[in-house]
Amino acid sequence: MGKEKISSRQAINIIVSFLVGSTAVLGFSSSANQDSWISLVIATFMSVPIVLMYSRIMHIFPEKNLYDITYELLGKIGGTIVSLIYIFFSFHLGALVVRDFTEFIQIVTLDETPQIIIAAFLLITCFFILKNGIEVLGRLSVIFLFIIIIVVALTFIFLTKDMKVDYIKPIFETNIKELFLDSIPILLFPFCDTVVFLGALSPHLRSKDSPYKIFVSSIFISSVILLIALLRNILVLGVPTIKMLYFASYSAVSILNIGDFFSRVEILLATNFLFAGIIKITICLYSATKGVSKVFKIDNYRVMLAPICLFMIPYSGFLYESTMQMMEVLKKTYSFLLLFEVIIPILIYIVVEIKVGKFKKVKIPEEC
Amino acid sequence: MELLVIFTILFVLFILFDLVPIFKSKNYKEFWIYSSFLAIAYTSLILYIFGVKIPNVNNLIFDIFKNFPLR
Repeated sequence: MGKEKISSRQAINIIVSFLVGSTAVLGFSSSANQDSWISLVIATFMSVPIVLMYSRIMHIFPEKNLYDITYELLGKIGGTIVSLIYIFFSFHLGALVVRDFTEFIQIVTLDETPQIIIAAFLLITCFFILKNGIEVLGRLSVIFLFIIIIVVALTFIFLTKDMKVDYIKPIFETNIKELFLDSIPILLFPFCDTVVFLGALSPHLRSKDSPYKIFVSSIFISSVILLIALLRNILVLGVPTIKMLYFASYSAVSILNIGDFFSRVEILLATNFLFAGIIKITICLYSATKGVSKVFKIDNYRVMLAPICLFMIPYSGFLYESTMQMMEVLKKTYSFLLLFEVIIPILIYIVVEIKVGKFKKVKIPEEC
Repeated sequence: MELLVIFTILFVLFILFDLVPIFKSKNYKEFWIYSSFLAIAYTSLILYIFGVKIPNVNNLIFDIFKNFPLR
């Protein structure tokens, strides 16, 4: 099988679907209340230098993923350590999304179905997508993202009659310092989750496509989609109601009722979550599988795909004991994300620039 | 019990359609690595189905990182 390549449009679709992923339904933790949309905007701009750093690493090593890069720069031992760290992070992130999804499905629809069965169906789907290659994921993401955008836009438009502008007032009630602090969790989840693409995307971009353009476009497009969803939730439900709910978007859309015949459309939101969740889990699985293949020196990543998928099923089940614990842990482990998504990539970036990039020492010829 | 049967069938299918071809193509290194991961996955699954609590990585992450709150 030849090298699998995806277009920049497909790459943008994958990244946007990845970012919208679980966030569109779960929402994000915010103490800024009705000003949380401002925190989202601030987080968007704060994420730009970080994704530019990821893009720079991909630009310097165009045909290599993070695991190849760390082995090349840090040697066998250093490369193995960093690879194991990111294998764990990608796998753990994928399992978290699986668990979010199974909790959501169990709470809103299939309350008698064991979560492990839902996880199995989800992961087998992701397995077959990856088995057929990243190009399949690219083509799927084009269709999925189109549907996601249509659903978000239509639900916003149809819910305008149920919106109360007073719910968003007073604007800028929260001071700037609080807004900045509040934007950090949003920055880490979901925007900096794109660190996973370092292990997955780079070898599949065509040489003419710029990773800078792909990442920055994706950040802004996903931010617009999340902003529309967030404003819809705030204007329809109000902040006190949102704080009581696990899945505010689902509850907001359930209010939609036009002419007594167009109602119960919240299933469209579940479909959104399904599509975006599949993309996010597939990318996490792909990154973890690539890492495992690199560490064990296996040429074809597809060999390790099935056992990693199958291991993720019980692993996602062991993560939490309840939805309440899931929400509580998510709020208190942002520093874990900071370490894996910002601090370690900065260190890798510094090593990349020193050894290969701008800060590489140039040998001055002796005759000078 | 039903869950155990369902997942055992699933694992057997993966062994038949994924692992056996690897063995037949004489990629013994990949075969043993695949088998090891599959054994770990199946063991974890059995433990989960029978409600056995195992040390959870997530709890460890929470215990370490709750001391460094960002908010």
